[in-house]
Amino acid sequence: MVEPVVDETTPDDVIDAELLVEAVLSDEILIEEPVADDDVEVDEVESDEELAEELAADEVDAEPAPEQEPTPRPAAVSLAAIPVSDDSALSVRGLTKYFGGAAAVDGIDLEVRAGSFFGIVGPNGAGKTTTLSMVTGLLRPDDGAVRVFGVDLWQNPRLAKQKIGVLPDRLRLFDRLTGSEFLYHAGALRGLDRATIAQRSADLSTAFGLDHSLHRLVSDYSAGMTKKIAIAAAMIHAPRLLVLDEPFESVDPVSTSVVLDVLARFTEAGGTVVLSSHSMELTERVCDAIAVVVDGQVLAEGPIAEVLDGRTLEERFVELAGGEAAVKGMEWLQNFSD
Amino acid sequence: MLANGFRRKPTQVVGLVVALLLAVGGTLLVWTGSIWLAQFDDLFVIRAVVTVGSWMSLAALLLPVMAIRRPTLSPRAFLGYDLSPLAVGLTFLMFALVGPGILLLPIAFAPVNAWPDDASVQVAWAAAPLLFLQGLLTVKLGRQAGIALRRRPRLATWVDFFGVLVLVLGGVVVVVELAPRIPALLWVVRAARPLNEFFIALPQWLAATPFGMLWAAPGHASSMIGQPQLAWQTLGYGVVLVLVLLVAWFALVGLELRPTRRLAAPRRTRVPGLFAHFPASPAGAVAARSLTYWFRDPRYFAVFAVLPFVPVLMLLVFSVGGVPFPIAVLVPLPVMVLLLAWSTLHNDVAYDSTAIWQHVAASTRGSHDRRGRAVPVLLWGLVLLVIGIPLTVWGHGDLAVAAPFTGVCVALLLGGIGVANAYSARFPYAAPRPGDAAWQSPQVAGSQGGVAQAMSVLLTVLVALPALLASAVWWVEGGWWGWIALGVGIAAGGLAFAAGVRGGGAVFDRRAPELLAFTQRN
Repeated sequence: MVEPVVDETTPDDVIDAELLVEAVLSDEILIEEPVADDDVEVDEVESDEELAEELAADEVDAEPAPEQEPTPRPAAVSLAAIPVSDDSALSVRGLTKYFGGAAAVDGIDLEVRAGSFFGIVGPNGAGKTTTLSMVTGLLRPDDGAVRVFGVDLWQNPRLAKQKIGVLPDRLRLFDRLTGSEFLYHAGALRGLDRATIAQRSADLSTAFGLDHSLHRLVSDYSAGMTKKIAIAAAMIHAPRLLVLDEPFESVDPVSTSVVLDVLARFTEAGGTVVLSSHSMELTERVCDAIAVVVDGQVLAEGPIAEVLDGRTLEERFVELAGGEAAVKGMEWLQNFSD
Repeated sequence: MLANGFRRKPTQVVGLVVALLLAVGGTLLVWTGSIWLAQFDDLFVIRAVVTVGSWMSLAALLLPVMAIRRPTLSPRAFLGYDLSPLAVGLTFLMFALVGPGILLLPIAFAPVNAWPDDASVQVAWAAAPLLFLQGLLTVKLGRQAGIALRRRPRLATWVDFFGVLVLVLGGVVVVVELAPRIPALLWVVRAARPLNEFFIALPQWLAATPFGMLWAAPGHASSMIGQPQLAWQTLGYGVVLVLVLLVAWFALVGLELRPTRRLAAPRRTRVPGLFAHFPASPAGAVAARSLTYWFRDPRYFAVFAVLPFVPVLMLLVFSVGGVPFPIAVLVPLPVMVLLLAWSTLHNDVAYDSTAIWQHVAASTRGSHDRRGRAVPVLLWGLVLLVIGIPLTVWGHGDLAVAAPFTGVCVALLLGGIGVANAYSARFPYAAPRPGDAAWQSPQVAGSQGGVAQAMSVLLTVLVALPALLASAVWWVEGGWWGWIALGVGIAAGGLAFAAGVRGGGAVFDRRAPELLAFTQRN
């Protein structure tokens, strides 16, 4: 393992997510030098402009994000460590998948910057899960390319997949293992040694509040706990990029905030999170960049302030997805039959 | 301080009294048995004394190792008194005599009664004190080993298990060896006839070990063997043995009497469940996960519900059909091996259902995945062979059949695993879902694999074909063909295994996303 460039010293008695993130990231940042805090603002603006230009140049399917001066990012989202080189954590070009003749995903382009918290929103059946499956190497695309930190996922899957932690939606887990066995299995599959697995399992289970359930079978877990242990297993090999499909579906608010807390620390330290959700409120609150996907196409993409343009995500989303028009057409619903 | 050894809790006292009564009874039995032995010929006395004696020497080592829970008195108790280790060690040995240890005396001197020959009796007199010392020191060292062992509970349970196993098996061997001169036990002799050679050779082997050496020494001097110099030479070895044990004992006491420096032990990393028994690697993880599923998932262990009925049913059918038993008995085990190797593994990927995504997401190498999945089946197969082959050979009644038979079985096991391994990656078909009953057939649209599966069974039989042919030649010609069948079987099986893992792995590497898509459809 390469010596970590980031060398944060944490007080020993703080045993929680902070330790976890440190453990997870300690052997993770290989090349990138973190930018000092005072440089962040400039760098950020530059990169936003670049992104906007790139978007315009690429001619995304929907109308390009409105050209405007990028608004400063909310203070809540810290990007302490934006890598200088290779800004792109995930780059998707023309991704396409047909299911029985119909396009489930129709030429999707995505650009996720390293260190960002990227949300993919869309109605049911929009192709979010299909897209994320192809991004993580679980589903072979019919066309298009996926690059993870510059590595082509489908040309060089082994190298690219090392950098990704995955939480798929609606796929089974090896749930006849106990919680600790499950974490160990995930770590060993990724080729970690025993001591590392033991330490990270302990840190992760503490961070996610699973300490007292590790001896139980995963099949006996509640839906929220299952999600949490699956996310923990996705993080155990210290990936740079976490791809989470519906991580908060059927998860209680307390667990949600626990998971969000861990993820926030993960991005603060330079990790990248891509998640899909149909909870608008949550996505708006935690993500710093989003893509709206409808019918297998990206309707809008970019930093959240740009996409929202002063409205709430829900309003913007309904506008983009055309839900209002459908409601407007149903005048008969206002004329009651009796 | 030494007297504290007599203070026990009431329940312990009861147990102790029972143990003591058993020990006294056993000693009396040995003593009367030795007198009873004197009426028989030298050869039988040698057999009896060596096996019974070896068993007792072994018990002197194993029983203390297993029985001891905590030291009633450790030599360390004398640490503060500035006594020399030699004095403490001697005191402990002396004190061991004041108690059940004294029972070792009649046991050690019992062989003197048994030998019918004067020359043997002389050697037996000389051997007795050595036997006594050997027994005493073995017990003492066994206790210390037992105390040390209790610090590793997991290892201790294994040692306990195998200790009991060895002693019980040893007891059976003792009964079989004694049986020829006990009229009531003649049926035992008949039952053990196929293994006759083994039981005749066994006392000689035992006589070569430290456990049986001193018991066997007087036998060499008997008039029937007539090698007194060998007897005295053996006694010399016995003296060396006792000296080695003495040195070990005093070294141990000396070690305990030394002040210890506390060493900071490295924090033990805890590995959950069966994963602790496999290396921390992708293949190890797959193997441990797979084996865990064999224990926890009814779809896997369903095969164990079928296996026991195979021999019963087949033997019944054969006996009705008039096939002679010695031939019929050869059929069930290969069928069981084939069933075990093939039944679950050939569709293992489908059994995982969509959970296989974890392998795809981690880009687990196909060969690692395949090898890991083969481990549980290999394990069960070995257990089946270890139990089944001796039983079959016993049923057949001729030891010579073991070699070709093993060849065929190994070829079927390894070949079955290899073929099934490749098939589960290439031709998965819908399986019962996780959590469903094993026999519930899955609801699928589209065709179920049939031809491919039949082919896989055929291929497995093909792997065993060379061994089968060589066995057939052996059946007619005899001689070395049996060993050729064994070699060919192992070679063909190993080759098929390697090819299956390699080929299945390559297919898995290439088709991993498609496999996942398949499991999602079904």
